Amino acid sequence: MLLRLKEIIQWTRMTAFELFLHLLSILIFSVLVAAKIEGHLGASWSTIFSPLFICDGLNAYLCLIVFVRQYREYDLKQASLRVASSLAVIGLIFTFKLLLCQKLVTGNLSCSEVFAPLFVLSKILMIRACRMH
Amino acid sequence: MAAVHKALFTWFIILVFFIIFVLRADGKVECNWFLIFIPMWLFDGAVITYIIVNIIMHFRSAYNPNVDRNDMTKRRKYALVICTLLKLVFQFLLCLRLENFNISLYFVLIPLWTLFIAGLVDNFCVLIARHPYR
Repeated sequence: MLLRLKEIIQWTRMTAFELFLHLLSILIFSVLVAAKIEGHLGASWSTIFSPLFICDGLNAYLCLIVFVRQYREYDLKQASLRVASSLAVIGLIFTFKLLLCQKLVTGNLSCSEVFAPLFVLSKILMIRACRMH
Repeated sequence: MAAVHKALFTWFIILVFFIIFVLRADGKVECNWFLIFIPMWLFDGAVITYIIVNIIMHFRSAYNPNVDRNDMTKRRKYALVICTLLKLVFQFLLCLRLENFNISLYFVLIPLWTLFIAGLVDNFCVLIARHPYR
């Protein structure tokens, strides 16, 4: 709303397709969460979180495809830097989702522990924001 | 407003919100959920003001009546105001739910789902467009 799609892509360094996958997975997840909390769905929390995990898996797969293509067409250094930064972000998002799932299943994690990957991610996003044109 | 300023403003607001949210969720502070969402209210206020100023500038500009210099139409700007209002409604209903009001979670999430579906359709149009980015 404040940022245009082009600026979001420039800031987060995700492609429009990756953002599309994230939006779709969160939409499906929110529907499942609502159904579970309102008592219309008896699935486990791991099943509820599966759209989010599938989305991260697909994003990591896309990153690897981009790495291979970039490596073949350009050079190894550029491709390695891109894949490392993308996988770091995907890894942090995946860790957050995994910890949130663990907290909901077992309940013995504090919220600050669950949000720790997001705070690390926020540092990365701050650096990327400062490097925007 | 340059993209870097918008990105840093968004980043700062979200970071402050996360910190306050974590403190409240861990029980370190005991205050109303409407107060926890203050960064988000401020952010939405700033966004609505920004878009309305943009719409006024669009009406007063002699550049092109249909699109502004960022290729944004008036209809798109009206849609952005509606999206921001949907986000505000979602946050308000979520705060009510967290304050133990008896509202179904489906009703709380309807504005968010509408917003997500609009975002998905817009993103899909961008993905299949010949000149993709807006």
